[in-house]
Order: sequence, then structure tokens, then C-alpha cells
Amino acid sequence: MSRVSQGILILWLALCLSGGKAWGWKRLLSMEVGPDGSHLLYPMSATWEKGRFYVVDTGNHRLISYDAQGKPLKAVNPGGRLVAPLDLDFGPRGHLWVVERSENALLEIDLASRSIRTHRLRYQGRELFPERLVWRQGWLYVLDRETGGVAMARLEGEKLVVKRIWVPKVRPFTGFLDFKVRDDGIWALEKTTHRIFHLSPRGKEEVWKPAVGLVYPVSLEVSGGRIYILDRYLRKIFVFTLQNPPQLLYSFMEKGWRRGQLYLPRELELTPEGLLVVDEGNGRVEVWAGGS
Amino acid sequence: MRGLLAIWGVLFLFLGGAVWASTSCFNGGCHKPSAFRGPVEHGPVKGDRCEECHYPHVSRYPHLLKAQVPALCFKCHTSLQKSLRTASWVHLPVKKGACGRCHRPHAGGKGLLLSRGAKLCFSCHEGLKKPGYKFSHAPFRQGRCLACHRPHLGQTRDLLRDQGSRLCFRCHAAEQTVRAHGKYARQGMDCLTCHNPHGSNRPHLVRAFLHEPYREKACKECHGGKAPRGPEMCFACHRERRKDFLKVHTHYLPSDDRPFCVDCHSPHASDDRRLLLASPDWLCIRCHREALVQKRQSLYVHPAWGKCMDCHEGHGSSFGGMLKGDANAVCVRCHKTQGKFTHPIGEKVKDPRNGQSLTCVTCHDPMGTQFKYELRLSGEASLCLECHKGY
Repeated sequence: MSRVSQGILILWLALCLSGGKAWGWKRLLSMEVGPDGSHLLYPMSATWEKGRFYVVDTGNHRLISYDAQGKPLKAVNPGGRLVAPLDLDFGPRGHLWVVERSENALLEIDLASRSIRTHRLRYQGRELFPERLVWRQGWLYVLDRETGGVAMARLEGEKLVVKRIWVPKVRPFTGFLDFKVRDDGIWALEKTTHRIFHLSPRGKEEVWKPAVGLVYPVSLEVSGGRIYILDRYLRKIFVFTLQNPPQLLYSFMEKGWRRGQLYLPRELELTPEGLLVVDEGNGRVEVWAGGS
Repeated sequence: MRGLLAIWGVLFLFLGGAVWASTSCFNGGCHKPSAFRGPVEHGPVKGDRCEECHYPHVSRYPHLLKAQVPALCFKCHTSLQKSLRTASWVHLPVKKGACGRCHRPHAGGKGLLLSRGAKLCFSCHEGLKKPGYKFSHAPFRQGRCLACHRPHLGQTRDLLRDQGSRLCFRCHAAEQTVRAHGKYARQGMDCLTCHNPHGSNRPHLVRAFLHEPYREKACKECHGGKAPRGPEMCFACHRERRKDFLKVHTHYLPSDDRPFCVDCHSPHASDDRRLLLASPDWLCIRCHREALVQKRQSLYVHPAWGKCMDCHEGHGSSFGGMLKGDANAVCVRCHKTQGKFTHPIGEKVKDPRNGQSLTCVTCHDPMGTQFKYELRLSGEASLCLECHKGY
């Protein structure tokens, strides 16, 4: 083997060893068209339920389901009510819940009976302004832009009742941009300040600040002893240790318009299939897996 | 005895060396001592220690400096360097390490400044020079910018010496000032919401445009017990604005009893007809620091940068980036020729990379890039080759 070849081999090995963690991530699939072949337009959110991906194709006013391989199955706009859908999740009785911005309401959609129930959220006389939602163990968690906090609601009969809102005690507080509910409590990302808040099930509140030059973080995920933060300006996912203060381990992804690249990313969501990355600018939702 | 002699020897070498250094700089007839003297002299100059900053023979830096500015300056001014690391906002010349933009290196007036008073500040902040206010704030009138602003760093973008009304209460007695504002005034209010700290054509430096209820002295419309709380307070009159916030992208912000509207608008007076708290390039940047980061990292920026509302909606929009329309419609309002004759764009022309419709911002990024015409990649070849692979 020539010296040049040896050098290249050593360099390759060094790259593999040093960047092993960062490059462990692989793009599994990209969802970018609906069943009719038309491209997604400003997708705002995606989720995984019972072996299928569901994408909110906001710009085209529809919800699209995909199989586990990313093949588009069905696109719906129940009752033509979706004008500006922002987020979706499956709630009790298998109903689909959607944040519909144009009505400032949550739509509870029963796909079987094709019926839609509208829920407007109020708390202590104030009308809330939902942005994102998650159903977990009978509780509905809603990112509320009116208070900047996370509203917690339950269904009482057919009525959705907001029981409390978590707004951190620290001041100044600029409002959350994203949140995730996990077994160890709620994790939320604050706008502008880049702080991460944690509310334990016992009500203990903690404030963490990653010591790294984030510019415009918009979404977070917490799993397997790691915090993942999506930066919309830097077009990267930063991976931190789950400790206070979080230490940066590595970052991955890059700016671009092709598959595997980010233009205007909006949301991260961890699913059993991998990490869902919603890119509003490229009209694309991708699934990444394999990283540590 | 030997020890004493040794100390004398060392002292002689040091003092003699220093005297030699300064005398040799000035004695050769090259550097006139008078050119290095002034009311205030830089420490090393005062001590005739030219060699603290300069090499006598050769250097890789201009003026035979021992290091580049600001590294050279920070060798002594360590506390400033330390504070810069944790500062929220840094004055641009400081950030760029251009100490010489404001300071003389050898001798001059107070602070070794290049010129006195506001003249130095106005050499960059030209816009502040012109206004012929009917009423002006004494420190502004006297050119004492540093009475309110810090020159190097600060907690606010305007580098104020203190936040909110605390700055004003340094001169204006707090209790008396609050009392003068009647029963609605609170100690924590920010005076700058209604008053222009430089000057105004209205008495008491009240800003130019007034909110109607304030002008009509109908305070109870907003402050009365029956007035709605939160944003509903504003929507009660500005009904149409509520619809703006029911769009995909909105600026709906958290409220307490106060409506979030006052995060951007003054409820009383402003120098902007939309009653904005500041000009958009200041107001928007408070939250959208990424726009400033991009501008500073770019070589080419759209000339309308800072006039955010020319292209973006302030309340809500159905278009990405809260644009006033789709990315073509927004641009062709000014770039009329390009609207008629250009690379094919529009709904039917798809970007082969992501299947999205081709718009002006597919190739241009008006917020700033490294390439001429704010192109996203080099217009020589790489931008075109993104799609036209065969060329």
C-alpha cells in the first residue's frame, strides 16, 4: 500500500472515530408528497400512531397519513374545516385532535362517524390560544400562546376542561415555543432566551441553559439521556447531555434544499421509528435514526 | 552590602533602559515629544514606555505594534475584555476590535477620545444629528451622550446605563415624577414608551403620534375597571386586528393583565404612526436576533434591511416568514421588471430539489448572503448548477 493510500486510510479512520457519534444518524425516509403526488406546502407538524405517520400539511389544508415506509396513504380535510391546521394527535376513543388556528380552536375528529366537535379553551375567564397539543394518559397538554405556558386539560363527558396551566415562576418569562411530555415531567423550550424548563411530576421546576451558541432554537426532544434542540437559523440539531447545565455532545444536519438537508425546520418529534424532523421551508418531513 | 549593590544594579538597568527607550525615540528627531503630549496621556506614553506597545526595529503589525489591536489593548485593559465576554450587547466598533475608531493611542482629551462630546458619536450615528426638535433633552442638547449611554457594552441594545425608568430617575426625582403622571402611573413604567429621550416637538418630550384615547384623555377606555383585560382590551376597538392573529404565522404573545400588543406598540405616544415602540430594525431585533446575526455574517444585504414592515406582516400572515404575500408578490412590488422578465418562477415552476414552487427567495436571500444581489450561492456557477446539472 502506497504512503498516500495509507494516509487516506488513516484520515478516514480518524474521521470515523472522531465523528462517529455525529455521523451515526441516517435518514430513513422522506415524506414530501401527498397521495395525489402534490408536494407538501408549509408542513407544520407530524406524529406517529399505530404504525403510521401523520403529517399536518398546513399550506394545502390537509392531514396526510403515511405507512412506515413513508408511502402516502390518505389525505383528508374533514368537513372542509381545516384552513390553518397546526398540530395533531390522537386522543381518547381514537379520535383525531387538531389545532385549527383559523378558529382558534381544537377540532376533535371522529374519522369513523365523520363527525367533528369544536373545543375552545378557556381558563379563569381567559380564552387560550393553542399552538401545539399532546395527549398522554388521559390528559391533554396544550402549548398556549396566551399565557406562554402549557395548559393541562381533561375531558369531562364531552367537554374539555382546562385544569391548570404551567407558567414558570421565574421572571421575565417570554413564553414557550415547544414542549414535550415524558415520564419524568414536562420539558419546554423558552422563546428568545433559549432556556429549557423542566417541571417534574411533583411540581418541582428547574431552569437549564445550554452553554452553546444557539441562535434560533424552535423545538426540543428529550430521550435516552439526551436533549435534542433544533435550531431554525443554524439548520442543525444539537445534541446535549441530560444534565444541568447541558453539555454539547455534537450537532448534525446542514442547510440546504435537498433530502437530508434543512431549510426552515420547525419541529422535532421522537417516534419508535426514529426522529421526525419537520421542515416547513423544504415542504418535507424526514425520519432519522441510528444516532446515539 | 552585596545585596544592596545588586538591587541598585537591577534598578539602574531598568530605569536606565526605560530612559534610554524614550530618549532614543524622541532624540533622533523622528518623533516629536509634543505630538505625544496632551491634557490626558495614555499610561505607557506618560511613563515614556513606548516599548510596551511598539517594537523599535521590526514588527509584523503596522506602526511597529507588538500585537494587533485589540489584543494589544486588552493586554492591559483586562477588565473590559472580561466584561465583553458576558455582555448582552456590545457597541459595534468594540465588537469589531476597532478601538481606534473612538480613541487616540497616545494623548488627547478625556478618555483619549478622538473628538469631544457628541461629535464623535455623530460621526457614525448621523441620523441623530439632523432633528431640529422644538424641545430637546438637556444631555442631548449638550452633546453628553455618555450621560445615558455606555460606550462599550450594555444590557440593552441602545447600551443604556440603566434599564427602564431607573435611568431617568438618576436625574428626575422618582416619586415626584411618578406623582406628576396621575393615578395610573406606576413606578416600574418605562419613560421611553412615551417620551423621546433626545427631543420632540411636543412639550415634555412626548413623542409625536398619540393614541386616540390618550389624546382625548379618555384614560378609562383602557384603565377603567370595566375595560377588558389582555389583548381583548385592544381588540375591543381594533376588531379587524383579531383576524390577523388567526393566521398560520402570528405574533400572538403571552399576556398578563396587560395586552401583549404593548410589547410592540405604545398605548400612549410614539414617534411612529403605527405607535410602534421603536423603529422596526430595533423593535424586531429584540426577539429576532437571528436577523442581526445573519446581517453581520453577510457581505451583501438587501438595502431595505431594517425596514422589516416593508416585506413582513407585523401581526399575522399565511405565508412563511410572515411575509406580506407569497415570496414573488412581495418582491415584484418594487422589482417590477423582474416580475415581467426573469428566470421562470411561479406556482407551476417547481424546484427540482424539494418540489416547492420557484420564487425569488429560491435564489435570493434578502436578509443577507456572501454573494452579490444577495444570491444564496455564487452566481458564477454554483447557484445555477444546483438545478441545471447538465451545464
